Amino acid sequence: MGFIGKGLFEGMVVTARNFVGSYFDKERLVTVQYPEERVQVPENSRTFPFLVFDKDSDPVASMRCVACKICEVECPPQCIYIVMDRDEKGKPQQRPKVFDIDISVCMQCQICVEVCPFDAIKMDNNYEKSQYGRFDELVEHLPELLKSNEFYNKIKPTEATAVDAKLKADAEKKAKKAAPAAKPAATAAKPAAPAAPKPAPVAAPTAKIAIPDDAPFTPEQRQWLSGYLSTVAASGVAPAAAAPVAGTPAAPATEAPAGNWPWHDPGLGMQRRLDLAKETPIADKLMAAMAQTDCHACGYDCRGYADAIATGAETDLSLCLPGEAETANMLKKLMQEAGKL
Amino acid sequence: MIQPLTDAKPYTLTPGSNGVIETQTLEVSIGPQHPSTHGVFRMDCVLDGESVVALKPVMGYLHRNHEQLAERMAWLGSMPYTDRLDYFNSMTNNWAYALAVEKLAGIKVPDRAEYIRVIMAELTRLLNHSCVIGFMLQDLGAWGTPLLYAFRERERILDLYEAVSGSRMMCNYMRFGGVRVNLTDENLATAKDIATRFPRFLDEFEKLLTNNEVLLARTQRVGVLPKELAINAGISGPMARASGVDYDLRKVDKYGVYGRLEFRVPLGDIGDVYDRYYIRVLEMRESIKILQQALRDIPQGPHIAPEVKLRNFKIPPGDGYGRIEGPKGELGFYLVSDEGGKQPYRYHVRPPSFINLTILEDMCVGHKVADVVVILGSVDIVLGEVDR
Amino acid sequence: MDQVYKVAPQLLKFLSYLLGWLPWIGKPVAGFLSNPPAWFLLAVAIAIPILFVVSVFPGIFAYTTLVERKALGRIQNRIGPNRVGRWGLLQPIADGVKLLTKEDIVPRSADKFVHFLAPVIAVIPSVLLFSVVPVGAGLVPVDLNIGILFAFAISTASVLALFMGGWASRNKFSLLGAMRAVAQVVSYEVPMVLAAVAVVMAAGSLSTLAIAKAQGGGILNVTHWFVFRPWGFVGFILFTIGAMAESARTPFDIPEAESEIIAGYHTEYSGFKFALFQLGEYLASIAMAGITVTMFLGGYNGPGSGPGILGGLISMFWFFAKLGGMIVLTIWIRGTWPRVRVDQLMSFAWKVLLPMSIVNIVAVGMWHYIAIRPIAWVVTTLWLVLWFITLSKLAASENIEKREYRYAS
Ligand code: SF4
Ligand code: SF4
Repeated sequence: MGFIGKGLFEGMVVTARNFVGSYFDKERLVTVQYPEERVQVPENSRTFPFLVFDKDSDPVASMRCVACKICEVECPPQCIYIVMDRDEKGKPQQRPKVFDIDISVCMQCQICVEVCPFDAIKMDNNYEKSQYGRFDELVEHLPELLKSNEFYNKIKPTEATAVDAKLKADAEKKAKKAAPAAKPAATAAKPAAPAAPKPAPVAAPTAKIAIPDDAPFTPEQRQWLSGYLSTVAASGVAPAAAAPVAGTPAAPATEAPAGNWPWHDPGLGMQRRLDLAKETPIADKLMAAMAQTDCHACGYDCRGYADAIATGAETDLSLCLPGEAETANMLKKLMQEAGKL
Repeated sequence: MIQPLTDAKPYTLTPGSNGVIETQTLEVSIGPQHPSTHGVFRMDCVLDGESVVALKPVMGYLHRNHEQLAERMAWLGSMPYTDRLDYFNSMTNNWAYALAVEKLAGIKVPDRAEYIRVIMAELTRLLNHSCVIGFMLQDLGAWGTPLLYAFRERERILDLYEAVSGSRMMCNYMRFGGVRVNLTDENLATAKDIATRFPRFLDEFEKLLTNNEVLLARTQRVGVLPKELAINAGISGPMARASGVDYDLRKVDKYGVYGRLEFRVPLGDIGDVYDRYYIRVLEMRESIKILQQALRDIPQGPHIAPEVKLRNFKIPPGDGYGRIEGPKGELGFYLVSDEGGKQPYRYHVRPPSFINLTILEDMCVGHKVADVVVILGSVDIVLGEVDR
Repeated sequence: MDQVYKVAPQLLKFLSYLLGWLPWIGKPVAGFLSNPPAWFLLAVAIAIPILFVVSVFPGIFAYTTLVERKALGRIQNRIGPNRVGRWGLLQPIADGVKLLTKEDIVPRSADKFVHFLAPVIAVIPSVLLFSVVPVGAGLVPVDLNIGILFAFAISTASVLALFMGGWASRNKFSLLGAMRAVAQVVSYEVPMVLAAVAVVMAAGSLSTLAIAKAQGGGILNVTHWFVFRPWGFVGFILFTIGAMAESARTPFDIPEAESEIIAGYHTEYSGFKFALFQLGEYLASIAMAGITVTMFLGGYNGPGSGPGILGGLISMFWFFAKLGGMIVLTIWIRGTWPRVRVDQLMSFAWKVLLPMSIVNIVAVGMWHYIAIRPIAWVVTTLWLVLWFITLSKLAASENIEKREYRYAS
């Protein structure tokens, strides 16, 4: 082994080589002096999610997100918070009014991106998000989250091109489908049309009765509640049951009055939900089969979709996106059991 | 029995003790805030002068309720959390979890995905072993030089990880039935480049360390772990192999495509810190061989089994244990699926760091305080995995 | 000091010339300076070396920290400090400001007075050490005829500060560090002094100036450096190791091993007290490097050095160049080697260094009595190499074994 100290000496040669090398050898000097120099982040690099919109003229209207809340449900640390936008009547607008991502909780896992059926949420690669506060400063709201498709194309060209192509193909397919389907749709709309205005007059008084002026609600909540109740009334199911709930002053303005529809909870399993809806009319059973996310991927909320199917206004049983095949199959089964199919 | 220094009796020559000086032991709490405990870990040491008389590892400072969280979450939801177990080796953690789920659900993984997994796992082994040696040398007092060389090389691997998976450390790359993103030719070229470059770095690293007399004197015959104890305590990974236990899951289980690849398993005889150091060096050399074979043989094809759904992924009732040879040892996930099958009924991790840490006292007693940190460094722990 | 005493009148004359232009006080002051009384001359002659020592060496200290950080950075493939000023040149000042403005924390149960005193005491011996280091031809603050002895006595005193700091902090880690410091300094003192004895024997004097002078002459003022003698070379290595251990530099930094006992005796120090500890430690290390240079590397001798203003300047240049070299060597070692363990440190001192330094003294004796130089060269070299091999084999057999590894079939 030579003499003692040989290994020590060899080590010193190595460090000397590194010392000299760090002046001349790019390999040995890997430091990037950050604020002045930056590394080019790879295309795949991800930090926090953002929402994609298509038209610069109207980002809010053209955003792809339909507030289906799939990402809210699937996000492992539960850092997304979504409230659906509604018009004054309480009709869902298929876009979020509130879309918050708490980036102090978000772990940049990309699962929201993977599960979104609408390619509406994508990963940014901006890593400079430091803030001077740790509360609201670290919650990103809808305006900050909205980024244009061009931006998406700029930061992730390959991925974005693929997404654009896919969306275009989907749109074409839909258009093709819509053309022959236009006629039956029109006929289907006919019987539905007289049905629609009928409950409307009922809804208005219900709403008036439901929320007394001295009820402890903010105007915002009041508006929401009345909109909500009118939808309930319009669907013709248990307006009487809705009234006491709304009348109870302590009733919180949550979206799912669990007292009415105990199965209306996305956290429950299918079997459990159906069990809860065992002794109810077919419309409720159908509703229990939905995914309960109120995602509007079908064009209704869960209640609305179930009622539409029950009344025959909607014949397509596979519209519930979050429920996927499970819901579709169950709907079919229930309809068969009810002898409606 | 923590003795306040004020109450310590002065050293006295008691009349009856034949002039023997009466001394007292000193209880020192090393950690949880200590530069060499690799995180928030505490060792309750009882010292007699500089020698350790007793030592008790105290864990749990980094407990994050990993298992319970996973039981409340869809199967996929805990995949990103496995990244955070052993944050050095997120790729292998992903693999172990994916393997367990695949076993439970009976998913077949496409060939290309298996090869990608092997490539990623071996790269992880390279970066883990080189950094562990760096950390150990840091504990030995080498002022960070070997560590920073290791980090320099690790950086190239992390760059590849970022290009592939989007993140440097929290990769979240594997999916049930494959991997999330396919490797492009460019990525494969980078991996090949790393595989050719790494031996040169290893040579330099060894020249700096292997024959260094100070290192030899500090590590040989220090922290000896006898073979019997290693087997009885369930030690796995390089630590067990340094003690001469021929146990490498890549050979035992032949999971993935390891059955098709050729490599050897180096074994030590004594099981001291030096053996643990050198076994890791030898393992890295074998890993490079595996990498080269895998990069040569990788077939074309899908990178993920197409039938596996992302959402509403359900597993029929049953239980399964998936384990891999992680860089630190046997990393296993025990999963139970019950009625409904949307989330695990029971989710248990068998973390190698934690189990390897249990025999710390047996290795440390009788040595000096300075050796304790080195022995701890040679065990190779990551507190994220120990405490979960 | 004698030299300064000689040039002081000229210096004062020059000053008086400058000050003569000032109104009001200019004339009388200039008159006083151009014809100074003896006591004033003496005061000036004393003040100049003191000013030199307390300004130049702390400056060297400040920039040593910068060079150390830069060099360590490059060794580790980093860049090192480069933000404060160009190339980070103002970094030491920024560090100083930072340490001065930091909160000074004293542990509640600490012995407050001793805790306060320790860093002060840490600096004093280190500064005193410089008084016997000749920085140029004839330029030594105090030419003590027992300079070497003084240096050893003073350098050992610094351990007192370490122990005070460790004890007063009332922290178990600090206490461990303090115990280690005492054990280490005491045991390394012995081989170091014995290594110095060899030089003293050869030079025939204990005065540092005389030792430096003895190494002058020869080709280019180089060949007579003691390091180019077999015994001198061995002595140089022994002394360097001893000096590194004495000033607790890597690989002997066990009293403050940050990975084991966090920072040893200065765990509980913050702010400027911490800075004082650092200052003391670095100054001691620089002073020991200066003494090493003086004893083995020819001191201020080098091509062109000699008496006179120009020769003196050149000799100063050589001294500081060698000093820089020694500092770089310690930094280089710090960037490369791991730390030894405390028991190994002891056994190394007593089982390798001590016998080797005694062997070295014998070698000097041989060198002295064998008049024919070539034979003396061969004999002493053989003697030293034989002993080195024996001792290193012994030491290695105790600690180091060669290993073979097998592969599972
Ligand atoms: S999953 Fe639904 S709510 Fe989330 S971003 Fe996509 S469309 Fe919007
Ligand atoms: S990246 Fe992950 S953690 Fe962040 S919002 Fe999306 S799903 Fe949630």
